[in-house]
Amino acid sequence: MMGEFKHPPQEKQKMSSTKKAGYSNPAFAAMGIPALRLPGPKWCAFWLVVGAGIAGVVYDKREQRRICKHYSSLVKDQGAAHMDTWLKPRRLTVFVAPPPGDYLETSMKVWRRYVKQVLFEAGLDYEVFTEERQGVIRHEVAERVRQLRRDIAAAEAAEQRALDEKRWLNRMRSWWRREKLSEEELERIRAQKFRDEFTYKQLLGVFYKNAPLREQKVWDADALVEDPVLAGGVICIGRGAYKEYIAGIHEGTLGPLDPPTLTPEAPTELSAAAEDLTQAPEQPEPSAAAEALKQAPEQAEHSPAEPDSAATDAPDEKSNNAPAPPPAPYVSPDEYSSLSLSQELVGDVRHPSSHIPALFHQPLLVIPVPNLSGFLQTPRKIYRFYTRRYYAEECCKAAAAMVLQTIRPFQPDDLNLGISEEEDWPRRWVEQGRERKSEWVQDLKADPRVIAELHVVDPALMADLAATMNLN
Amino acid sequence: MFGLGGQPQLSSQQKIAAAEAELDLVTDMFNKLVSNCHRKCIDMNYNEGDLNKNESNCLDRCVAKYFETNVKVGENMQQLGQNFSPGKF
Repeated sequence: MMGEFKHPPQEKQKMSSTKKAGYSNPAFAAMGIPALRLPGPKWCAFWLVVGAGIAGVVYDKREQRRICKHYSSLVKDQGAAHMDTWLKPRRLTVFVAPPPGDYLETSMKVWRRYVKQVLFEAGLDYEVFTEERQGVIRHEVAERVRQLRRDIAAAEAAEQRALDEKRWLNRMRSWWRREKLSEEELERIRAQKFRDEFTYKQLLGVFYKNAPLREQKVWDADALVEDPVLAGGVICIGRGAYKEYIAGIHEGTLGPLDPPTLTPEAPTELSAAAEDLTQAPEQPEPSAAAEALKQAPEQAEHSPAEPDSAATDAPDEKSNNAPAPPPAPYVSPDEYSSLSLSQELVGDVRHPSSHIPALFHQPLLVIPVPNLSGFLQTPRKIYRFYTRRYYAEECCKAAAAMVLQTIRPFQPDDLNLGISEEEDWPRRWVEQGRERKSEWVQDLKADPRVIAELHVVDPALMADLAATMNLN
Repeated sequence: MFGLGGQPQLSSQQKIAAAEAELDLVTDMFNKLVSNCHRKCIDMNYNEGDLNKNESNCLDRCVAKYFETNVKVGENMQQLGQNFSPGKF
């Protein structure tokens, strides 16, 4: 009885072991290698999925590396070229803004992984300007243009003064004055002059006892190009940075040199935010904190705790802790057509002392930063993660185009550069931005007179260039 | 002097000694900087006599970083020295 009951399970075991017979041969058996067999169907499916996932990542990464290497190799010759010691390399300006609702790090990754690599290989210098808050890049760009205008005006004034001094009468007068200086004062002036002119070059290194080398003036490569369009370059990483750059250029070229005095009765559309900030102390605190964050909705998104902590603090402390918001624009986009282009900025504008062409002459490149946020976007995020190589190619190609200067004049359509990124912007963030009159969510407006000065780098022109390079 | 003299008057001998010490310090830093940046940036094969763009960029950044670090460390050391009281750290 017992044996009969035990029999069926044994048979089952036997049957399953025959199922898993697998492949073997006498040689394997002699070496003690067990029969080779596939794992069960469930295990097969599991390993297939895991393997496919890992293989996808590995393939994508390898392709990315290959693509970046390819574009680096296109520009490598430039980096290996000889450079004189009295020359400073071409210098790019990079503006990096974070994508809405995310940290700056997201955009910096794009810069570090794809763009910087190519620029580094090409032996270019770059200056990176990053900012988390909205409006800072715009203010910086506008301030650079305004500073250039001030410098040009000051240089002209100095030239005028020098001409005046050359006149005979003035020379007589100054000679008369100089005569009256006492010996002590003369000594003091000489000491000051020595101190001003003193550098360690006179005592150290290759410059010591090497007067011709010491006297050699250092030049920027940008200052030596004849066509100002071929100097330097501007890279905007992120659609927001591009919008701010364009607004900043307009503000700098069309706007006044000094901030306008704001009249509370007639606030312009864009300066409304700043208006509210000035009135903030009169308002209840929580709303004041909200106002302070108005300029930076993206910060408000990713640090929801901030308004609360700011609201609990005393208003004085808060103003000390929070960085001051960037100044409101001096002009609003609606006023562009009514303003006149400033007189200093006609033709080939260069800095009076360094001779570097103005920022708006330099070619412009926009690199969008597609960035999805939200849990429901996970499938699209996964898809993008596995097809990142296409984006890497876009970025590396754009950077190589910037190095090789495939340039064309700015067309009105170019205001939409990188607009694909706006599809990814969180809808709630955009709504919030509209309410708060954020600069990012408004339509980009441009003035034809300013646009005429701009040039863009077009990666599409690279294909022609590569073709000609191959022919040669 | 005129009630402003925080620093004691130095004789010209002391001034020269101080200047020499400073020059020593600067020379020392300069030599270290040159050897570090040379090691970091210059290709030791010496295929060419001149610098190429990558090397000069590298040197430029290396020197800038070195100076910046040096200044920062110096500031911190000075602060430590000012706050230093014997027997306590």
